[in-house]
Amino acid sequence: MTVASFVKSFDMERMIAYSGPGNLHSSDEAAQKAGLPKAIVQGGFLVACLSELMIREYGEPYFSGGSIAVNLLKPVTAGTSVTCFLAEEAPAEDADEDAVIQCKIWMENEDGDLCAAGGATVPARARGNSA
Amino acid sequence: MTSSLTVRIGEKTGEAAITVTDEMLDEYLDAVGLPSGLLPRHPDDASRRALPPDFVPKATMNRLHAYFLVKRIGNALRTKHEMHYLKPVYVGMPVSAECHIADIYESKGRTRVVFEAIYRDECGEDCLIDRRTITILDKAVLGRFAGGRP
Repeated sequence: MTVASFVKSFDMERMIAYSGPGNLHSSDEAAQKAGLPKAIVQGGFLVACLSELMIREYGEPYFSGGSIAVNLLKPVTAGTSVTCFLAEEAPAEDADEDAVIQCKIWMENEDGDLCAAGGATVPARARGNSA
Repeated sequence: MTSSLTVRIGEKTGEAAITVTDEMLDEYLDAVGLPSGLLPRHPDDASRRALPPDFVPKATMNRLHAYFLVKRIGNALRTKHEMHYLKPVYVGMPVSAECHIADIYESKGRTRVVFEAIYRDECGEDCLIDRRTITILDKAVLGRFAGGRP
């Protein structure tokens, strides 16, 4: 079974680069106007981090036949980091060559809280690319 | 809660067309911290990199649904995001997309709206399906913010 992880940090500079300036994902002031305590990392950025894990692990097949589905559970704020995890699920005993590899993916903040979780798939031909 | 919404299932929320350049891709890679060397190359032209699969949805979200959100719904948080990558999109490859509201429902006392965008290449073949669920921010949601995402 494949288990992989990496750490991603979010400083405000990176959040501005991803989300553009002056919105609730890149400005504490704008976030507070929207009723939030401070700027939060854009949900798409969190999904991109989990997607990066799939790219690192499986390469090209993920781009052509892969999928990802993520529930965003807890906001991530500027100046923090998260650890992204991937665990490949065991294939069914009767799985054929056309089957997909199914993975659990999730993200934890520095306190170990679950911030995002879901699943991803990649065509089984990716198995040779897996580390 | 959905009675205050003026949007309806099936309503078109936007359309977009994009051809990503190397400069656009490099800017994105810098932002997310993804090494360019991880990207596959076009089988017939090794100078053309495949785009990270989440990039085109990110680059087109304003035209497909973000503007619609601001004008028609108000502040909201993305709480679920699902993408299906049917074929790679490369630098220099024109892609177009249309987005519509696929569902509106109540869950845990909150209103959720599902946007679905389908991206196609020049031949009209599907490249990517993006489905994202947003939860409308109201005072009750904001009050619970410290406890986690709504």
